[in-house]
Amino acid sequence: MYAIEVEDLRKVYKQGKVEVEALRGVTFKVRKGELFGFLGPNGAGKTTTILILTTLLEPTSGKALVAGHDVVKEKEEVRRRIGVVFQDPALDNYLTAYENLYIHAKLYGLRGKELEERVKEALRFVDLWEHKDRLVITFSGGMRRRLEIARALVHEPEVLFLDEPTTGLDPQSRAKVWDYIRGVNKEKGVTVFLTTHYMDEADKLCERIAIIDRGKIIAEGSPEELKTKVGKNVVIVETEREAPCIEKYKCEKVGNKLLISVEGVTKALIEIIEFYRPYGIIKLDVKKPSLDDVFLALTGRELREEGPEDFARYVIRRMMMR
Amino acid sequence: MEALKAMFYRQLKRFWRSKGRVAMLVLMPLLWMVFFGIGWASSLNVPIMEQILGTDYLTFMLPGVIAMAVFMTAFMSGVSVIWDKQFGFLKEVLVAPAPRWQSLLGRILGDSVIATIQGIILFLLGLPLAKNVMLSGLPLTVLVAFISALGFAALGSLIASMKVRSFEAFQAIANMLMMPMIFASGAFFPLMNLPDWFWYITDIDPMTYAVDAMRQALAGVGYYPLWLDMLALTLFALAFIVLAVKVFERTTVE
Repeated sequence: MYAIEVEDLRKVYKQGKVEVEALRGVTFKVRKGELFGFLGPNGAGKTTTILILTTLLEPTSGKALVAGHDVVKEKEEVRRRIGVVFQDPALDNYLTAYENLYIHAKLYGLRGKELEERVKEALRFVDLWEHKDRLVITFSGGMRRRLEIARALVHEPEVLFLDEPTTGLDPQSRAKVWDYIRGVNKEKGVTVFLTTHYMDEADKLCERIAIIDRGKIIAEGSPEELKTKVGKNVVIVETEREAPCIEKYKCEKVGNKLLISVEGVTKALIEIIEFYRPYGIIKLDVKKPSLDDVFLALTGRELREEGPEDFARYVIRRMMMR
Repeated sequence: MEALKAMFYRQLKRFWRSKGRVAMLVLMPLLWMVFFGIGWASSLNVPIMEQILGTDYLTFMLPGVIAMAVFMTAFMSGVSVIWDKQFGFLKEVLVAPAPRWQSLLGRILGDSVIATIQGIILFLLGLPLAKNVMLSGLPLTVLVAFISALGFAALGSLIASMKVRSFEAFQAIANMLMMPMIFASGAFFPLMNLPDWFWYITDIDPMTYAVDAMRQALAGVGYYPLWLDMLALTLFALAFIVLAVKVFERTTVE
């Protein structure tokens, strides 16, 4: 059974005479109970997809079912069953944390004892119960995110949508937000659909990801699957004395570094160490392919704009590619 | 009706938290009352003028100033829709399964209660100046204030729900509409001897009927029959609530 089914979704924005194709035929499925991530650079179509799936935007063509209901024809049914955390905060800063959740619960038709219980449980879940009477304007970015997650859970949705949930947060708050997202998924059994442009977020947090670029899905699978499909591991060796390339593997010399491309890391390492021990090993390092490398292999571009690469990194990258 | 109650509650809470900012909206009409009012009153309070006005000038003016305060507060409350657009809260409302008409109506009702309270505050502040005010007219004044506030709040929300995105744009539209509507309404002068072209504006200006009804309640003088004032205001309020809801229901985040 699927929580989200999307088929050939297209969206064209019209700005005067200019037409921008934000989505160019997106198809994917998310199983119930899955923690699914949409990874892609800014402008790839992630937010457009979320806005369509949460009924706030109508697609130009294509079909999307969320929790078994059509996002265009059965908006109310879909809205009842989803929780949403938008990319930009959507809290009322001049109300307290409790009041924000109280209003949300009422908008979702809750009342009386049940409303109080649910609001309390949600605030406890994200550890904000002791701050419930503070105005949201006094909250830090991380606290606001947590409050938004709590709010999205008050009405016990089947599917939780999170659009770039950790953008702009410091590392500590990020880790905490990740914990809560995992908790929502594992403890409460809520299907989670999130978008991100951080490859480590997709890698560490999501069970399955789809990589989206320029309005199209270019790869889909678990992070491990994607990485092994696209890349090899690279062992980097530095030695005291000048050493030749090991012949058994694909090997290149860059300055004083030896870059060796391998598949099974353990077996290869034993051989490599044995081979280079006579030359005096100073440094030994294993680079595993990241989702960044996967993206690079698929599109020829980097997921994140980074500074100029040094040559060794460039070669490592190239060696990873199949 | 939980959604309606939720938005009503929200508007009142926010009002209570930003008392200072909202109090500024009372200040302007009060300044008119004090300077413009006392300024003219010192020359106009002669028997012949009192015959024309039907009462002393400050008593004549107080209902106009109350209507002005109600109008400005209610109309400017439309800004809250734009705030919500800019600060994202609107998405929270739009993605909820609650009927949109309920959340908008809750907002309009909340804003109208606030505007009515502003009107009452102005009444109390103006009372020491206007010596011939009939206190018995207060309940009717409150009723008129509330009905007209519904219309003005709906008008403000309607404009804000359309393609207006920035405060500046809303402010510009607000100024363009507010000043002529206040001036043409007869808040500061009697209507009887106006030139014909003036009437075209005055007749279609909902403020006219609010001022006239309040003046009948508080000063015992007026131009139109009271039933006509009430009918005009009720129709105005209903029409704009329906329009605002229609537009709000089609609002997307595009």
